[in-house]
This record gives sequence, structure tokens and C-alpha cells, in this order.
Amino acid sequence: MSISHHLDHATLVAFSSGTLPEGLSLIVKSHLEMCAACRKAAVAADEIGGSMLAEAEMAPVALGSKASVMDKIQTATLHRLPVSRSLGESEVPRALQAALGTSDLDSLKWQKAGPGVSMFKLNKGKEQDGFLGLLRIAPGQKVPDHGHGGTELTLILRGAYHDEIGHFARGDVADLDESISHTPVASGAVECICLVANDAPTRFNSWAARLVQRFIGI
Amino acid sequence: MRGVVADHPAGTVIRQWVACVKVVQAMKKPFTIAHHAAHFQMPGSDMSQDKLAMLIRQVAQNLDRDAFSTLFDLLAPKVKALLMRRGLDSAAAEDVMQDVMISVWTKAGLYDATRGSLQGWVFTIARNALIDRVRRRKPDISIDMIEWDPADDAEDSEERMLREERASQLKGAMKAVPADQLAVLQLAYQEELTQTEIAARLGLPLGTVKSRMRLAYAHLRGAMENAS
Repeated sequence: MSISHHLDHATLVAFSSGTLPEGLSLIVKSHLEMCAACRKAAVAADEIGGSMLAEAEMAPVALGSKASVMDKIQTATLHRLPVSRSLGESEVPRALQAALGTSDLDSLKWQKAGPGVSMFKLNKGKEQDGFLGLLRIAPGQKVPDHGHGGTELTLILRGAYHDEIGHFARGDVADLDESISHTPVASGAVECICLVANDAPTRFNSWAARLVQRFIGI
Repeated sequence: MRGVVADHPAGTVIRQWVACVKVVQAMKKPFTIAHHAAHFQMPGSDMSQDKLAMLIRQVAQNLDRDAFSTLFDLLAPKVKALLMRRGLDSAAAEDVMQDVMISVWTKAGLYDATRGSLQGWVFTIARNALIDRVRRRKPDISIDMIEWDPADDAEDSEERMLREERASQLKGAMKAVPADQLAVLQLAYQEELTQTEIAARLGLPLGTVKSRMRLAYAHLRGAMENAS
């Protein structure tokens, strides 16, 4: 797969350190399954963590701790093969499959979110935690101009869209921060399905879109 | 530490010594005493890349319990310390550390030395175990650092040299990262603060925190790749 839009390295550092919010982390994991360049970049970030581990002090382990572990490994099941051998073969990355409970996007219960746009919400948390879910945009359909309260990640799973920043196709990730406002339009003859997560509510720039937002909760 | 002391023939003397040092410890950074106590049975437990790679290979290929036992001595106290720094109390850190060490055993066959260092791999296992615990959900098996490609059993001396060199380059480069950038990395990796929390802690705009992360990352990655 040829990917032209990658993860911001600051996002990879946050992911690697385990401090990226859960929804954004799901997008990072999904993109990593699809993008060799970002996997390599992620390994470098993990090395920073490894170096911090190597430099850590030594906290004394509890009495009997080692004996207990030595005992448990006698019966522990070994992982012999990499769990993710066939990457990029399914339309839905494995990390997302686990969250959705299916690998078939068409079987989801899509909810109408405006003209030519439907969505499937994944998080049932509070609105201020941000949005995590799938957006399905009909060919040629425009998503209202919006900005972001914090970080927003978008991963394209099917079709493509273009906006002020560029053209985004399957596997591409848009890693946007609060300074950026955009108006994505689904391009080509097929619909565009993307996974979207943010860590603060989306800010639509028109009052009509804001009105709709109150009902659909993106 | 109690275990180390109790197992030793000169336990009483050492217990007294430890009691003395504990008082000192209260006034100092925690690593002073922990360092001594943990090194007690194992002088010079410096984590050489070569040694770690050899040990994990013995575990993966021969299910070598002695090699694993040595790895436990080298890694378990550090994993526990990292987990405690990231907010777990001693009992919880002990618990998660044991899970991490069991994963090191069960996943040893997946570790691929050509992709990254052992401590980087163990770090990702610890990070994921901690996330699973905090989010109280089933273990997420999807992402450990090396799991994308099948492990390559063969290892030539060039790869080994490269690994040693990369690790030492990274260690050196870490010292050369400007203090304001290093602080941002430490707050993320050691204190587990999100970008937003780091911004609040340092009184900086989020954009500045992100750009310091990018700069520090670029610096360190550059140093690692110069070794290749």
C-alpha cells in the first residue's frame, strides 16, 4: 500500500509512552498495521522508552516473587508466531475489528448524520472526552467546515477525500491539531469511510452545522 | 529486597545495614539504596545489549529457565521501578511486573533482535500491561513492538555490532537532548502525562509541547540511524 500521509512524530511519542487517549490510540494502532514507515518510526519511539527503562532505578522485588514467576511459566502457553501475520489484507485493521466486533463495515448499524453523511459511534463516553467512530461520506459530499478543540486523527479505510491539506486515500492518516480547520469532500466515484477520533469536541464553523452537532454528538 | 536479604547467610548483618541505609534513603533519591540492594547478588548488572540478546535467544530457542532467571534479575526490578514511577503502588507494581515477566517468557519467540533492543521490547510489554490494567479490559494482543514480522533466527555479527552501537548512540544522544525537550519526554515516558497534561504542568501551549516532542524524537532517531 502506498501511503502519503503519516502520523505526526509527537503523536507517535505520545502513543509509545502510553499517554495517548484511547480513541486516538486505536487509530494509531490501525494505521501502524497499514504503514511500514510509521511502524519503523514507532520502533524508534519505543527505543526511547527502552532507554528510560534501562536507566530506571532498581525497585526491590517482593519476597518469593521470582519463585512465583518461575512456577507460573512452567504452565504458561507460549506465543510462537507473530499474532499479526497477514497485515493489510482485510479492509478493517485488526485493532479496529476487535473494537467493532466485525470486519464487515457494511453490516454496521449506520446512523444518519446529515445529507450524504452517516456515522457509527464507537465510544459511549461523555461528549467532552471527544469522538471515536466511523464516518461514511457519499461520493462528492462535503463535510461542513470545522476545526478541532485538540488533536483529531482520521484514518481512511475506503475511498478517498480531499481538503485544503491534500488528497487522502486508504491507509492515509490526517493528524490535525487545534490550529487547523478543514472541509473534507469525498472524492471519486465511491463513498469514503474513515475512522475518526479526537480528544476534544469538534468545532464546526457554521451555526447550522453546530445545530446539527447537538443532535448527532460528534 | 527482603527476599535478597533473608536468603543470604549473613542476613542479620545485612538487615541492620539495610535499616541504616533506609534512613538515609528517606532523604535521598530512591535509587541509592535500591541500587545497592538489588546489585547485592549480582555485581555489575549493567544491561549490555549483547548479554540481553543472548539470554532472550536461549529462552526462545531452548526454554532455558536459567537464562530466564538471569533476565528476571536484570529486568524485574527496573520494570517494577518504572511502574511505580508511573503511579502504581508497590503491590500493584509487583503484580503487573510479574505479568510482564511472564509475557517475556511466553513471547520470547516473537522478539526480533534486528528490529529493536530487548529493553525497548520489554518497555512496550510493560506499557501495554499498564494500559490494560488501568483501562480494566482484556489484554490487547494487537501491538507489541516486534510482532509485525516473523522473527529471524539467524543473527550475524554485523547485526550484533549494530545493536550495540545503536544502544550506545541512543544513550549518548539522550544526554545531548536540550533540557527543555528532555523534560517533555521524561514527563511522558516516566510520569505518564498526556500532551495536554504536560502543557498544563509546564505552563506551555499544547503546540509547544508537541514541537518539543518532535525535536527530541528527531534528535534521538537521527542518532540511532547514524549508527546504522
